[in-house]
Amino acid sequence: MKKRGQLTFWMMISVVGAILVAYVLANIAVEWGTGSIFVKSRLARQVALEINSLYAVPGNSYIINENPYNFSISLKDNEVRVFQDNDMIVGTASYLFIKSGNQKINLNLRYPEYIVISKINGKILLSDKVDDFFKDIIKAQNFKDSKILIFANPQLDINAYELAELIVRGYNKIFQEIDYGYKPMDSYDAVLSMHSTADDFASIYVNKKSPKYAESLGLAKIIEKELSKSSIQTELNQIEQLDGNLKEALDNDKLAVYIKIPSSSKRIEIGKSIYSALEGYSK
Amino acid sequence: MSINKRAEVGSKIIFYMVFAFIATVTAGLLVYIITSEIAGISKIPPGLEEYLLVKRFTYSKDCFVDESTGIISWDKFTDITLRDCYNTDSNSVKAFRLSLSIIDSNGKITEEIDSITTENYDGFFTKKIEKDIEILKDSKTYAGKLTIYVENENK
Repeated sequence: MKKRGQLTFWMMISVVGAILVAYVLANIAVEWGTGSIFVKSRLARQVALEINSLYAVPGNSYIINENPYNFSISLKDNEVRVFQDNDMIVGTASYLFIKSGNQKINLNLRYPEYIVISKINGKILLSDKVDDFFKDIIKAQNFKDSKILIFANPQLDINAYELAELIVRGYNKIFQEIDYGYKPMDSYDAVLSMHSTADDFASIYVNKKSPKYAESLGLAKIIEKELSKSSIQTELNQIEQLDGNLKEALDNDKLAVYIKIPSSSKRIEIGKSIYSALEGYSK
Repeated sequence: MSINKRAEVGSKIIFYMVFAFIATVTAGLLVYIITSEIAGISKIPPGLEEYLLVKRFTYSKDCFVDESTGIISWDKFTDITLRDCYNTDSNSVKAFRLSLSIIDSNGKITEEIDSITTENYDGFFTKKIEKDIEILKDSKTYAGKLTIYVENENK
């Protein structure tokens, strides 16, 4: 026969256990019911894809994500995890990326305002700091929700921009069906990007739907001086690759700059001259 | 036990059985609706991840691309380079086998490296991608083809 004290002890254990189980179940139910788990999963996948993309960019580059849902994030080894302090089960919102090289990755950000992922000299870095230049862009866009801006740093060659463009398009594909605030690139007021297409053409353009923003972002200098229409036109005449649509776009100010370069050697040569003209842009 | 009590117990069992059935169906429906409606936000478009990973092979200087020219280097196309630039042994991610060939003006393969694999490649590819590329070998540029076999396509 059990003593009275023993009965009370086991009853307390049972009650505490039951409360814990109920709390975990309620927490999971809320996560699923509010869709929070899916938003976390999306962010984890998004960051993992971004890291994979950065590894493919030949030069140094970085991607800025806003974090409107106020999640924490960790990168450990080859896994991205997104979580909050009150998560009962950690690791449900996670996704794998594939490392390049032997970097030991163990990075954490607690409730950052921005999630800035960069690849500098082959190493993946995580930061919540956005330089003023990019902060201005984000403010200028009046972002209310999660947005992504991707700029590849023109350190090595033109392919960095191609990938940046590719990533932007990829993310358009991801988010166009989702009402989570991501807008197609055309909706940005000023986006600088560069890409080369599969047929070995390279192009650079500055979208200047809003001259005001272009000026505030330091793009005006590029548009008006170093890469003025006349200088671009000269380049284009030299290359003799201007097609009708492109000309129309230039004339209508939809594109400020657009260059097609037909060969690899020419591409690198002209690309380098563009980079030097763009140096002021990233400062 | 009286007949009334037996009937009462019987009706309780039927009630619980019906309740359990309805609760299960409702829970199942809820899970289905929630997952189909909300889960879409975390869905990656088919092919995007693979597309980005393949870019690593064709553009990254940590992989096969020559530092100075930006062209795929014949000498860098090795298992060691691949396993360093695609550093995983996990079967939960995509695996790749790659081969590289130099092609003459008649479209015939004159030289080939067949093949190199990522560490997690088990030999069962489900997709083949071919890319026309330039190859740098002995300081000369050749027309070539990069063939990529993808395993775990849907992971």
